[in-house]
Amino acid sequence: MEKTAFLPGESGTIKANFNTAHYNGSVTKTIQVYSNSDGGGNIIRLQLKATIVTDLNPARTSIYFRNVVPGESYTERVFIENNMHKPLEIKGHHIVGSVNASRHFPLDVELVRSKDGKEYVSVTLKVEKNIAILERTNFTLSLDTNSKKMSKMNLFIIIRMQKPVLVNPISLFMFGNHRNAKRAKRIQLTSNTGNSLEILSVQDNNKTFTFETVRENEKIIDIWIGINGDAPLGVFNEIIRIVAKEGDVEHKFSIPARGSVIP
Amino acid sequence: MHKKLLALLIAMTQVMVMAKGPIMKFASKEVDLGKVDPGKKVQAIFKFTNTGDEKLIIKSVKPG
Repeated sequence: MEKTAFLPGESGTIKANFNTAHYNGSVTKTIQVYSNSDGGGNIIRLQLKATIVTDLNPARTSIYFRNVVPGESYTERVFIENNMHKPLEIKGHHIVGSVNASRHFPLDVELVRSKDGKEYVSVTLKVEKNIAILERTNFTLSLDTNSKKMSKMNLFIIIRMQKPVLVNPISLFMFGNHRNAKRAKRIQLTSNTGNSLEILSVQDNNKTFTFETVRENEKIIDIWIGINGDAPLGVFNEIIRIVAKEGDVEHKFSIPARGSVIP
Repeated sequence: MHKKLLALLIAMTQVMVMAKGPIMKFASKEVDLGKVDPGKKVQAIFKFTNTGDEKLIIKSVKPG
């Protein structure tokens, strides 16, 4: 917008630019115009509609790798609807958006043709064995195709690592727990990686609780939470801090605990 | 008392009728660009006129 003030009776235009790359099918975009029209503070919403016609339509535009574990590999297939009147070719691929991701999550891309001629892009994810724990990573996989209209076909890749240690529950409510109660509530920690699990420390701020750790097996440890005999009567609002060691990695957890102590 | 209130009300309505303020009137709030090839940069043009009686000031235009 070059001009922002318009006298009564004067006309103007608002130009909205839209890049159709990465869009597919019918798309609606909204534009918000803030002006002093009708007394000010007013928003007028404009809509831009377009139908993006492609000759390659992936059945889905994102691939979600869930509960990924270091050292494993995973394969996902995406069906590609091909309206090019010629077989699809994947000439190359590269990752957009995250340099780290391409290093930690090497991807193999392959074109798979089924017996009845259906075409799929097969993406194989190999997770590094010694990967630093990244809980969630997203990036775009850009494929070079032999299509004129869609020479670059993008797939959005979402990777969610399995949590190395599961904690259950993640918060505690302890209502009406008696003083000197030895085992009022339990928190269970489970190693998800196959590594052994160890509890290095368990603490609360005001020494409201007593803790007893009980090993179920190599991978599961229970922490039983009791009420300290010296704990003041009434409502408490605590944070239980747990430091656990899974393999060689230390993990810290903060678990809120609310409730009250009665005689 | 009632007369005073009535006079005030009439005065207020008159002010409201007289001052329209700026009005941003669009020829169309919706533009359909129809079928578009992927990877193209397209432009939609929205025409408007200030049909009010005061200066119209556009503060911002943004996607959303």
